[in-house]
Amino acid sequence: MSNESNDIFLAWYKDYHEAFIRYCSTIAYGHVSAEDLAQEAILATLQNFDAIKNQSKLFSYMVGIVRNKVRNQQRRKKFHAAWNDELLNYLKSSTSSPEIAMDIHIMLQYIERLPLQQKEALLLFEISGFSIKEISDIQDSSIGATKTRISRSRKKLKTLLSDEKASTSISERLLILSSIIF
Amino acid sequence: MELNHLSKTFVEIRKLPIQVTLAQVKVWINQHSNAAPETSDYSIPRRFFNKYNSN
Repeated sequence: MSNESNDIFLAWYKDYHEAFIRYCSTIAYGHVSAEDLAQEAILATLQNFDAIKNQSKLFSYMVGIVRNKVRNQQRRKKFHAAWNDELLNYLKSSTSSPEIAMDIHIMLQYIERLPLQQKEALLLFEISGFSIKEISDIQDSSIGATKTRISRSRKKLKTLLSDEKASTSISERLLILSSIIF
Repeated sequence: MELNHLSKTFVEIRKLPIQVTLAQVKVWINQHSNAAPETSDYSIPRRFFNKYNSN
């Protein structure tokens, strides 16, 4: 890659940076680091930057790389709800209260259980701030299908979280909270 | 967790600081450009690649 190509790539990428890193941080919560995921996707896109003729599909390409990486990782290692000290420390130091950190931790664990395309649409919408139209372009699907994915993922998430509330005992919640606080 | 609680939690997630800075991305790109070709293999399967070159 020439320096000129790198500069052109960076000029294109910088507008997507925050949305993309937020997406990477949540799509693989607890089983792939956001840094590893982002680095692999960015460098692969950079390497193929000159060869991708349709520049409007670049972000879609990057999300596709993340999707493949997450899928491969899920095949290799099922997510287990073991405490990840690094993640909990990050949440603890980045939120205003341990309760918020716990809510985020629990919700991201449940998002992890959603089907990949639903999870992808939900996170691109709720966390990265893309519009339905942009997500349908990224996922190469219709606007209707994208809306359905987001709606279904919300409903499923609500059900999972309601079940969690009913099934998680006070002592288990205290355990999560104490892991965040101490 | 109710639906409005769900929305509030999404808002809290959006408030989290991002874990990778743009400066860090620039460092990766520079390192990648300076690396020997055999140590910078991010090749993608042809079938996957073609999908993004279609109109």
